[in-house]
Amino acid sequence: MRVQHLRAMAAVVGVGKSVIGRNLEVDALTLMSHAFKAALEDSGLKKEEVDGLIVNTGGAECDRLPQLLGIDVQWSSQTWSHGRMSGIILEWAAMVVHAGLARNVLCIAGYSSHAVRTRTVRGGSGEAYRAGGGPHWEAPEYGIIHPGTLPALAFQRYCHLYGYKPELLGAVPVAQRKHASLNPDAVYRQRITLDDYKKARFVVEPLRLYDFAVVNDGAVALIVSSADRAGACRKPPVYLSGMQGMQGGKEWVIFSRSNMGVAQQSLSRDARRVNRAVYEMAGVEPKDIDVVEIYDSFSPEVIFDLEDFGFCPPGEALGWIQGGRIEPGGDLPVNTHGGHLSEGMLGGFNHLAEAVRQARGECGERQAPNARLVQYTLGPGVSIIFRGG
Amino acid sequence: MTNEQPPLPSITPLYEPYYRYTRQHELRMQRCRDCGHVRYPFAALCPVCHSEGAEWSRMSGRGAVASFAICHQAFHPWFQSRLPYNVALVDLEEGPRVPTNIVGVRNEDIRIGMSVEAEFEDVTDEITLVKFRPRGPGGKQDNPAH
Repeated sequence: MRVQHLRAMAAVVGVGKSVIGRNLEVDALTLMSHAFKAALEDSGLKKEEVDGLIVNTGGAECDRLPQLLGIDVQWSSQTWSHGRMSGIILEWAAMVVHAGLARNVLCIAGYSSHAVRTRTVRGGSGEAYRAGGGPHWEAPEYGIIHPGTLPALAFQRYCHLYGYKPELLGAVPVAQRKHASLNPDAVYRQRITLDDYKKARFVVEPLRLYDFAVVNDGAVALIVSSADRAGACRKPPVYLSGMQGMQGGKEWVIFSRSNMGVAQQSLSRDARRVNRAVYEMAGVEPKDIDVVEIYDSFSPEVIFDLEDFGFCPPGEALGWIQGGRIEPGGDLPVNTHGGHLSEGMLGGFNHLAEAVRQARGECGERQAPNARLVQYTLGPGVSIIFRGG
Repeated sequence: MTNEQPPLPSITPLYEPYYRYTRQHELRMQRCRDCGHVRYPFAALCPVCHSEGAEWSRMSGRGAVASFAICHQAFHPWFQSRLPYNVALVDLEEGPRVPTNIVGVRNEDIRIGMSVEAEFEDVTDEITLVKFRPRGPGGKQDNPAH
């Protein structure tokens, strides 16, 4: 499938974040309001010019939010409250402005621990108990309750297939904490060593405490405009140069990869997802990418995505990341804000915000040098390549 | 906490026959009447040939451990006194990869590729879960395919 004609048809023109923190005792709508105001100011647009809306998180309905934010939208929508929707929301907004259904689309997500507490059923996510199994293949009757159990199972198999010691995974949280130490917004900024990692308790062995996302409050807003309008905004536009949607199928298992997850059958057990569309649309190759922001609720996702998006051959990422390669100043800085593991869990929206800011070159101490092409990836094949002006 | 009940699956119409057979200590899954593909998760259509015809076919109960993990934290009160406990994925000989627990072996002795066989655990009058136990002397008959 060749979609080069859509290359750079839209751009992110505004980015805003609320404060990020644990147990802020602030509702998600308030946090989202702060994020929107910041994004609007960043863009230089007036609120009257925002005429499209896509909401990621539940509890803030797409017909109620415009009243609270004081905007009149002519095209709005909403997704299921899962971070896996983050990338496709931005892609959807790009298509909407390209099609002319709206001019400036607000994409927004907000989380508050208050909401998490109220939806929790006896520990873990209440969703795990839904009929037919949870959304991440949870099976509570067997004790598969926390979503992190799934990447633990996949990563154990990865280490078995490729002959790794699982503790090598520590390079991911160590690197991301190093990035986070340079990020004033991050929830956890204290650097950790591999020794600290190995001393941390197992949650779902082989995964340890540092392999899990922070649970926190916060909101992020991004404003997407068509490329022809984007130049009039306050800051240089950051174009969506390439994009690739969410995949599904027999071999698709969230937090896992081919031949490593739940419920996969032998039909095509050795099949490997080929994530090429995003590069073909952008007209670049993995070697051209300056920075990658990888959706990381759990450390193994970084390993899997580096392979699935062609930065390393299959089975090599866990070795490849050792020795500082994804740290600040490394060959390929990954999760320059600290990711979900250290900056905070904002359903990938914080990764999108960071990608735009890195492509603008406005990240201060943590800015990767000469970052022009910044890629966002998310396990189920979702990816966007951002190009700075 | 001692009166805490274990988490139990919701039985949907698609899963009702599965649990009806496990109550009788039989592991059965949907097998496509047209192409023979064994469906898991259970579904209205065969994902290979789209046939709607299926029979609940008896499985050998034999399989191999595809992966496992050890839970050190309880996310449901039932598991608090059972820590650390294992969770596993088993590849059945007939194809499906199912979530389960491995019994009859210490957590530290579980290995990927270990040959296992189904065992039935009656949790309530309604629900019997399928778990797996190492097969053969000491569970040493590893499956080289893994």
